[in-house]
Amino acid sequence: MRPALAVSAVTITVLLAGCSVRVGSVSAGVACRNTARVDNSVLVLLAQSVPTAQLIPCIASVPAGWRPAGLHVTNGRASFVVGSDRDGPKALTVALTRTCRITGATAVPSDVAGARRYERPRQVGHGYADDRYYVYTGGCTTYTFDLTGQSRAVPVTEVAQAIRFVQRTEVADLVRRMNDGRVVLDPTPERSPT
Amino acid sequence: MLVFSLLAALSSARLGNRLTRVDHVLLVGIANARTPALTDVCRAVSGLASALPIQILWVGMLAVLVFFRRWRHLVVAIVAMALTNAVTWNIAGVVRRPRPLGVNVLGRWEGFAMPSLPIAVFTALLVIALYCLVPHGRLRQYGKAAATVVIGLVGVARVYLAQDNPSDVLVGIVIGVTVPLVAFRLLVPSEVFPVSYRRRRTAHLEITGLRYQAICQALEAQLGVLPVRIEPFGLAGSGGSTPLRVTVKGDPDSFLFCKLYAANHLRSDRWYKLGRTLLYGGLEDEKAFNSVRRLVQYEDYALRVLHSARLPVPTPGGIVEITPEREYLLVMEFFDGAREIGEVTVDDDLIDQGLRIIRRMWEAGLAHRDIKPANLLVRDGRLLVIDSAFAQVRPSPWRQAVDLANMMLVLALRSDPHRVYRRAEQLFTTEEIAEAFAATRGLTMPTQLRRLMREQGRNLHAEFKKLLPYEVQPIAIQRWSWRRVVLMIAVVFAGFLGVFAVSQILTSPLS
Repeated sequence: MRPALAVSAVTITVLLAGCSVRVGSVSAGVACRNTARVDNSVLVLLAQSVPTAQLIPCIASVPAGWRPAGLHVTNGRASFVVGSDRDGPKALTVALTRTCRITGATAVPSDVAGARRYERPRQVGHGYADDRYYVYTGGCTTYTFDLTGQSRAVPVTEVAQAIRFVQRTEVADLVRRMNDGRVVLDPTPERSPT
Repeated sequence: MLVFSLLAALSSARLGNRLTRVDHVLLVGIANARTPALTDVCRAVSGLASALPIQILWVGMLAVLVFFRRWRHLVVAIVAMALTNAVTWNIAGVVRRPRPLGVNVLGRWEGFAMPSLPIAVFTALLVIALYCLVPHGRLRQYGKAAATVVIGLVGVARVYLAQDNPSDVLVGIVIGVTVPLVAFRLLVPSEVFPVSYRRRRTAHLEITGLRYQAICQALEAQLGVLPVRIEPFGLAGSGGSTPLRVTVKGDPDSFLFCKLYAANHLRSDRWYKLGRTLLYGGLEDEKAFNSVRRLVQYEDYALRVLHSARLPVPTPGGIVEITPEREYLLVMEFFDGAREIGEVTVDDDLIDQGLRIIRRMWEAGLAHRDIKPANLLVRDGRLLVIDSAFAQVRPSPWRQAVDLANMMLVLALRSDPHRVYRRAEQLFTTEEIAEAFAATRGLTMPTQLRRLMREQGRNLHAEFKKLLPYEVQPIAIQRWSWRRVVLMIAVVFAGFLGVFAVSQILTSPLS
């Protein structure tokens, strides 16, 4: 009887796990939301990956034909991928880091308040490849476009508009609300001995 | 149950937040007590659960298992680790817990916090190592205590560095212990698959504990004999079964020779026949057996046919069932006092006996198919033949010719080809001898025979061919068929898959 119970427990665990949503296949987890729901945990995790970044990238809306395709978060770097059925599975990769290498990039007018923007096109013939950098206080967000479709750079605007930035203070407020004010996102200065 | 309860709690927002607050209080207290020296120590300790050290331990453990040919332990270890990894990743995707909040995180981390993947993998690795490398008993108990201390220290270090919340570590430990423990207890119980460091052939099963008792009971119940002692016998010359000598109570005690067959022998038989099909095609009946029962039935039948043809083989004793459909014992007469032909002086009388055995088999429409020194015994000047596993009824003329050549080669090992050839001419025609040496080369000679000829530095095959009155053209043994071609393609493809699988298995379980 005991082996049967053990096998059942393992089977149920695996089945439950199989029904879950993996970090890599999160559909709306990087969405920009402002409610005290568990789903915002991804936004909190992104904010934790670069503790100094004052702007956190997120997906405001997913255009038709596009879908979130992967999320990878470690200390010091967070990235998520947005794929397209016409322009490739990794059409846009958004990466949040502490700093960026903008050597060779050209400064252009920025569409994000509080951030400077730089562009470095890599390929404009077959498909379209470009690196876009948003540099701001405490962090940098890189958009890596690798469009393999026939439309070249046309989808760039469409997908770029789908990405928005959330202020770190908004995420901190979210954490405070979720925990009745007893837990904060970032350590207060007197609590940060190393 | 603890894991399920915790997961249910965390999935509930209210309970999850409560747990977060409890963890937060603990973490803040620990963070306030940090010192530079303690931080350095904890960084070093926490590094044990990082990708490189885990990979080194993992690959090292797999290498030990491969070296000692503990394939079952190896497979279960790989599956248990993969399952631990998968379960942890998927639970993390459900719970989606952020890293510790409100404290400085001083170490590396990746993904969601609950359960702690490094702790789960590190714990699983130590549990797997205990069940794969440490023999059951007191040593394993000490190992468990030591592993508990190490895991505890690494967990505390990761909490100190705020890489994980305290509850993340706890759940990681529970998963890391539970998954491999269940896997090993169910699939590799220590009583049946003990951890041993004797580098034995996989064909030779351990005859200890439950298996020993089962054999004794089965012999008594099914054959009416009372075993006094059961011990491995003749392991060096055996690769397809576990040969045993059973001392039977009597006045005086007597012996029985038994061959223990189990599922691993069935697998070996399948691989062996697959290998022969790939190497030279379907020259003979290379169909693998479907069950252990059929494997044993075949050898018992072959022995009875050889015995009824009045060949000097052991008297059959029957089949004993140890575990239905899984383990059987083939019982026969034990040639007490017999020695391998390679250990005695081979005179004309023995040569004649060997050649007459082949002649008798030809007349009876039989072939032994494994004539080698280990299967030819001498007792009181009488030549005896053992191991009927490969015997064939109504064999092809080619196979009968190969039997003759192998017998002549074995006899020549301890004498000389001229002598054996002269004696063979009295029982066989020149054409029959010539055909024998045209049919025999390379793969058709048993491995032991080829090895002994190499050790003696003699090309006996060439020497016999020189004695023939005319040159013989080798008989081709390669047979091509669509089945062989498809099998070859499948093997090459499986090989590539295997290389890919091995490269994946050898990467760090944390990656």
